[in-house]
Amino acid sequence: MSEAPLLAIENLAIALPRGAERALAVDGISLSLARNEILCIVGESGSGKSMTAHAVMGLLPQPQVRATGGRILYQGEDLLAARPERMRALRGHKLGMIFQEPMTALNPIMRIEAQIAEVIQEHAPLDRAALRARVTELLLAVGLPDPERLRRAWPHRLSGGQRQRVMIAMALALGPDILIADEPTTALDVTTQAQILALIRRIQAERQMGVLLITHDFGVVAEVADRVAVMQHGRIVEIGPVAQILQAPEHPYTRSLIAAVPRLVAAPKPVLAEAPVVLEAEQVSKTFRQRSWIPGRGTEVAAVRNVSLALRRGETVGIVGESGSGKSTFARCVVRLLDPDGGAIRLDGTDIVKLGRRALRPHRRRIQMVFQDPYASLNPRRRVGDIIAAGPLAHGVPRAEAERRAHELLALVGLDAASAGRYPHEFSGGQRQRIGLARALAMQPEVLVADEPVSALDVSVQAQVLALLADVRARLNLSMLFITHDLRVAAQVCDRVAVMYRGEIVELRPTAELFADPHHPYVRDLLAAVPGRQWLPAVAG
Amino acid sequence: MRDFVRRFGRNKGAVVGAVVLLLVVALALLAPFLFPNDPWEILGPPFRRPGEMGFLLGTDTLGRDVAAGIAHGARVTLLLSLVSTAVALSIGVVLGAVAGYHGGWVDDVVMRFTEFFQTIPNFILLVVLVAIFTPSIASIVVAIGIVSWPPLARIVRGEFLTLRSREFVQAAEVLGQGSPRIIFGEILPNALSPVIVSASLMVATAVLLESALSFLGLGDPNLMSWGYMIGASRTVIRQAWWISFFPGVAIALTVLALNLVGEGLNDALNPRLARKGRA
Repeated sequence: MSEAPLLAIENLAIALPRGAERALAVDGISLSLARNEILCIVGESGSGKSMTAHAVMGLLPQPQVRATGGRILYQGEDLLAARPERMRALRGHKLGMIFQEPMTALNPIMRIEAQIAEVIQEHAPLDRAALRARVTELLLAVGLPDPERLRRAWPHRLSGGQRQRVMIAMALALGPDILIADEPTTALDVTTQAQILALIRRIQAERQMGVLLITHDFGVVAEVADRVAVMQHGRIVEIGPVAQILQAPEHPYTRSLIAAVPRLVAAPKPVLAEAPVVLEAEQVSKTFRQRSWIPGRGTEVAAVRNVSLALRRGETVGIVGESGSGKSTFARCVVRLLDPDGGAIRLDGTDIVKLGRRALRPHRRRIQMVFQDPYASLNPRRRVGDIIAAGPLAHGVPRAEAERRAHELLALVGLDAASAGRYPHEFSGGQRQRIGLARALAMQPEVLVADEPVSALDVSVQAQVLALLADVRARLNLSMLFITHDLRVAAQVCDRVAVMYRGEIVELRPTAELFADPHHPYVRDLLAAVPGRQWLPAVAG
Repeated sequence: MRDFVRRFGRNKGAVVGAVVLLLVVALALLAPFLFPNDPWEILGPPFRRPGEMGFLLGTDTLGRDVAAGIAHGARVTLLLSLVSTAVALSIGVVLGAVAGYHGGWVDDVVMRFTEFFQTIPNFILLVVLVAIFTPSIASIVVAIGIVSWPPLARIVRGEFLTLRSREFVQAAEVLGQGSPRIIFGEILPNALSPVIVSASLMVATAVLLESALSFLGLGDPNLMSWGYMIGASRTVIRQAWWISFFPGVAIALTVLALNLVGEGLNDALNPRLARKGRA
């Protein structure tokens, strides 16, 4: 570390537009990135970590958001003072960047080869043959199979992981000194995430690059980082080598963040084998059909295939799987948002699959759902009190009674009664998720289906909402079907876990057993891919 | 609400449009007091120029007061266009909502029906309808409504298609709320802004349609309207320009004002889509 750092940020300040939450998005941070190291910036949403990355690339949405102080030195040159032409020359050439959302980061109407070639031609033009060879070489370097075929492919033919690899290939096209990765694996499945992280690690080591990786996930940090900077409210509260931050964090904020990361070890759970079965799914199937005007040309996707499972009173069964595994489709069949094609779903012995819309209505009350997206799951035009009271009202509860219950429920989920008169946009993500829970509880359900209820939340808020769910479940003796992609969360919440893969349950066992000794090879892969698996967060003192 | 007013006020054109529109409405409301006589009544010699003998905008071929005609015509034009827009709204919103919410074959049937209307040129259908039902205020209102609803139905359907897959709609379904309650209580309030904007533009189109009908002599024969005034005086436009000019100005100003207001509403209701750089 004797040579000058590759990148040095000195006292950087970034101002937000007037009327924003706070005046400065980033408030006087300093850090340095050396050649051949991975520096992770960790923080919750709104901590300013992405702003920092965008400032380095000169991608701040000016003039509303702009750097108001400090310097960003790339090999001694101040990037904040650089002219736009100079920044354009550096971007893509010396500074590479990968974004979070691989689905939108590629131009959908350009072939893969053209996208990568564009970067090269912009900075260091090559002739046709050399260009083609370079593209092939890059595609191989990021581990994409069959580059000859892939070169000519359109982005929509590629999976999320493949697109992220293409993004990395584009970032690497000209051998940059610095790679900035803004939540590069957040939108990916856990097994794909493990592969992409390994790829970043390998390429960084091969090319001796400095990598600045922005993430909210301590698991990712444990997996790849050399050094870690923890950001909160636009300031760096702690910076140091990864072992020190993860094992012996000093700042209370770092400690609380690490303490909020769910352990991958299942907590011991009481056995519920004698409790009566509340909900029983038997051979449930759902196939999506795309109709076509030409007979025989429609496509079929079997999203859920012969799924059977029983849920006992007071029990939480987790359904874990990657995207496309059919877990959400199954959950939607259980609450009858979708009509299964076959099988039975029995609620206390009544098969709700066979019931028509009208006959189903009285049973709706007994099985309720908590949704994933705290921003989309509440009607923005209605007051919180009305949202919670709507269900009971639809079932004939008098208005005064429904409103009284709404107030009680707000208290139960930890919001004050005055919240009833406010609109959803006045609440944070975690608070909205509490409102969504109150709405479901207003129906006094026996079964709660929670579809990724915490995956859109920051880790500290996640911990609070999970604690609330556990508390409510115990108090009301609810049975819960908990859908998640996050094995850590499943380990904490569930009594039993069902792992779904391609529409089928491949393994369904008590949580502790499953985590200790997975039988099915896919489940083993899944567990092995959890980032930071070896790192057990030290319990914060 | 205050936010809405502020964003609307930022668009200068919209404010001007709103002022003009208010003046036209005031003129319509005050017509019986400003011009107590029947606008059909002959008050003086024909072909008086504007200003002559106390006639502010002159007299027409029979000696009727042009200014009185414009004031009373404003009542007819505004009333007809507002009510016919309401008719179009009620057809378009209901059909679009049903198609977008239910999807599947319901959607197919409703949209084919909508396209059937869209394939016939608006104005020709309008003329045919009015001719069949004999011109009267009711038949004109209904006919304008019938030719104007298809675009609305498509807008509402599009909004419903995206909104119905939102989680709050699914939540309402899981709670066991009925379809009408979900359509009108949960989804429609969220789909209203584009509907309001296009409805305001539709009023402007209705003004033009009604004027065109009256111009052709297919207006209600008992009601003075701007289109009728232009139609009746078109043969003498070279001798007496003012008889057709002032009703024409009235139509142009009203339509322009409605369009400006519609654009202002668009900026205010869809702040994210508003054109940048006006702050």
